[in-house]
Amino acid sequence: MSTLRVVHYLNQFFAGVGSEEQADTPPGRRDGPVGPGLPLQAALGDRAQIVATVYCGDNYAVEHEGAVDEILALIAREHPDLLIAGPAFAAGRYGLACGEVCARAEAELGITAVSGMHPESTAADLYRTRVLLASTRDTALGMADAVRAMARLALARHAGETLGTPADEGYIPTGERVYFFHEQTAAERAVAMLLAKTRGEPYATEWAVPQYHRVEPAPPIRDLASARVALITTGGVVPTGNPDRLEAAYATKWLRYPIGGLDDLVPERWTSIHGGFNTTNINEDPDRMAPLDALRALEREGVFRELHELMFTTTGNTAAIPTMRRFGQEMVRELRAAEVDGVILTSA
Amino acid sequence: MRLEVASVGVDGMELDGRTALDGRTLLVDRDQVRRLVLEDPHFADVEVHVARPGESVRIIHALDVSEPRWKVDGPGGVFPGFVSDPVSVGEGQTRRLAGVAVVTAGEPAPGEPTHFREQVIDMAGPGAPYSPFSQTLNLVLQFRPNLAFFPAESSAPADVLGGTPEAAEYNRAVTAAGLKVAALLGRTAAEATPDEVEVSELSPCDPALPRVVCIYQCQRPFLYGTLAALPTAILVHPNECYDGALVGWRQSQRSTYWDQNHSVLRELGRRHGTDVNFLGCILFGDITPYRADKERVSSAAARLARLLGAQAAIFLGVNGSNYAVDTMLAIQKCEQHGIRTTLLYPDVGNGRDDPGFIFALPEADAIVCTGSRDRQLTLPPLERVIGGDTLLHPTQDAHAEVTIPVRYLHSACGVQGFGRLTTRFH
Repeated sequence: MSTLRVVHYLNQFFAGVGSEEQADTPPGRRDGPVGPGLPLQAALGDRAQIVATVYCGDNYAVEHEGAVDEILALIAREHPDLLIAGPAFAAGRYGLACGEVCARAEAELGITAVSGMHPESTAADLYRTRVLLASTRDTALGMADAVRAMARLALARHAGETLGTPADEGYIPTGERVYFFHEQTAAERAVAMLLAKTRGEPYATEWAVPQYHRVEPAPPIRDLASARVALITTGGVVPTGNPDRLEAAYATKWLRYPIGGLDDLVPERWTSIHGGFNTTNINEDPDRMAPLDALRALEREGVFRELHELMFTTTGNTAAIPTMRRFGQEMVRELRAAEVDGVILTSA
Repeated sequence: MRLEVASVGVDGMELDGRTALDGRTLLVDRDQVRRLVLEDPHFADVEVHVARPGESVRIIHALDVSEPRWKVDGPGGVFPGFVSDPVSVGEGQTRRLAGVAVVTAGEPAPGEPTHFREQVIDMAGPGAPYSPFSQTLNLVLQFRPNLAFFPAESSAPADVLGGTPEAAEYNRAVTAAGLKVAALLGRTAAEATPDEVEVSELSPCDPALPRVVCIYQCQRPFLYGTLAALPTAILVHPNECYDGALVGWRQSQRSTYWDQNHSVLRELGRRHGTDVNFLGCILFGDITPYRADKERVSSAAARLARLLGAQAAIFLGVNGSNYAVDTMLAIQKCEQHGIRTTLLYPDVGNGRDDPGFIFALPEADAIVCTGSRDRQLTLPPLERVIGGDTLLHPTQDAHAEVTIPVRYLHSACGVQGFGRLTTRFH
C-alpha cells in the first residue's frame, strides 16, 4: 500500500506566523508538517505523510472574498489524497474556515477531508452534517487526543470503512441514519433502559434530542413612529401559481416578493401553499396569514413610519432547524442593509 | 384482576361453507361474514379476501387491524362497547387465535382527509419485514360506503384527522364491523385446546421494587365503545386492553391489534414482582392547538402518575404535530417530580440536518427509537392488490413498483414495543 499524501490546514497562529495581529495573513504554504502537524504525523504513522501545510489568517479566511478558493488552489497543487484541517477546538473563525475548506475540498477536489472541533462550537453546528469532525476539547489542552482522533478517522474514512457510533469513534454526530432491525424488541429495550436509569446505572439513549439555541429577544423599538417595519411569514404565502416553487413542507428556500404598491393580499393573486394545516380560511383572504391590509392601515395612521417594500416568505412546516436558522441569518442581513427596525413575523 | 389470555395457534386460513377451526386451520364462511357486515346500513358492499404470509399480495388502504378473540370465562366480553356490553373487562379467560388478523380496508369516504390515512401491507418482498401484519393470516374486509349517508352538500370537517362528521361516523362503522368479524372468528377458539396461557395479574408485590407506569399517548381512541378525548387522562388496567376495551387506529401509531397484544404492557406485566411494581397504564392526549390545551393534557398525565406514586414511567409518544409538544411537556413534568422516564418514539427526520423531532426537551434523555417514518422505500410490484388500485399520496399505481415512506407500511413504527425496526444515528 502506497503512502497517502496529506495536506494539513492550519490558521496563522498554529502555523507559527503570529497571533491575532497576523489574522489578516493571506493563504500560504510550508513544506511538510508544522506545529500540530508534528504530533499529527506521528499519529498517522507510515500510512500517510503530511507533504505540505497550508495556512491562512483567521480574518482573511472568513472575511476575504475568494479566500477559500485561494486555499483550495494551494491544496490542489499538492495532489493530496487527504486533507486534515485543525483541530480548531472551540475557535470561531478558525472553525468556520476548517469546516468550509473541508466541505469544499470534498465536493470540488474529490478528496477525503476531516477536521476536529469542540461539539458545541458554532462551526460544528454548521458543518457536522457535511464534514467528518473529530470531537475535541474546547482548548488546545486537548491537542494530543484531537490529532490522534483526526488521524484515525481520516485513515478510516479514506479506506471506506464503516464507522461505529459517534460515541465509540469519537466524532461529532453527522445526522446520518443507519437503519436496521434490532435483536431485542423496543419493549425489551425500553424496560431495560428505564430500570438502568431508575437504579442510577449507566444507560445510553438511542437517539439524542437536539439542543435548541436560545434567541434573546431584541429590545423594544424606542420610537415606533419613525420605524421601518417588514412583513415576514412562515405561512407559505406566495403569488398564486407558486412561480418559484416554494415547498409545502421541508422548505429549502425563502423568497421575497414586492408589496410596495399593494394595500391588500387579494385571493386571486396570493395563495398559501403550506402543507401543515387546512388553508381554506387563509386562501379566502391571504391577509389572514400575512396581514398586509392591517399593516397599511397602521402605516397610514402613523403608528410606524413605513412598511418595507419586500415581503419575505417561507414554509415553516416540518422544516429543519439548522435550515431555518440559516434563513433567519440571511433575512437579518438583508433587513439590516435595508435599515429595517422591526419585523411582524406571522406563522401557521 | 386476573386474566388468562389463552393462545390457540392457527397455521392456515381457508374460505369455506362454515366458520370453524379445523385442527390448526381456520375456516371462514364468506357469506356469513358478508351478512354480518351488511347488517350495518352504512355499507353498500363488502368484499372478503384472504392474504397469507409469503403470498404475492399487496393490501392498500388498510385501516384498523384486530385480532380474533373470545371470552370464555369472566365478566363481559371482547371489544366492549362494540361487540359486547360496555361493562368492565379484564378478568377470567380470553381465547385468542394466534397468528390471525382481521384487516379493514377501503378507499377514503367522501369528506375524509386522505393524507393521514395511507397504509400498506406487503405480504411478500422487501416491504414485508416492515409491517408485522405480513406475518399474520389476514382476513381482509374491503368496504364500500352507502352514499346515502353522505349529504350532497359537504359538511365542514369536524377536525383535520377525522374529516366531516359523516366520514367519522362511517369510519366508526368500519371499525365496528372489523371487530364484529374478529369476534365471530375468535368464537371458534372457545372449544379448542390452547397451546399456551399467559396470565396477567398485577398482584401486590415487594414494596421495594420501583413503581412503574406506562403512559400511553392516544389520539382520541375508542374506549369501551365511545370516542375518548383524554385531556385529563385516565388509568386502565392492561387486561382491559387485552380484552379489546381500547380500540382504534392512527396511521402507523396505533392499531387495535397491538393494543390487544401490547408488548410494553406485557413486558412490564411479565417483570411485575421481579424487577418492577407495575401500576397500570395511563392513557392521555387530545387535540391540542392551544398552549392551554398542551398544559392541561401534559399536566394531567404527570399528575396521575404522581397520584399513583410512580417512580418511573415508560412513555409511548406521538412525534407529530401538536401532539409532539404534549409528549415532551408530559415527560418534563414527570422528571421535574422525580419520575424517571423512557420514551418509545419514531424518528420523523428528513435529511441529516433534521434531528427528527417535531419538538424536544432535554428531560427526554432516554429514548428508544422505533424507526424512521419518512425513510423512502421502493417496493417492486406484487401479483395481487387488495383494497383498491391506486395509492393517493402521491398518486401511484399500486399494481406497479411503488415508492412510499416507511410510515405507510402498517404499524412499521408503532410505539407499543412489538417492533425491532430502529435507527442508529451516526
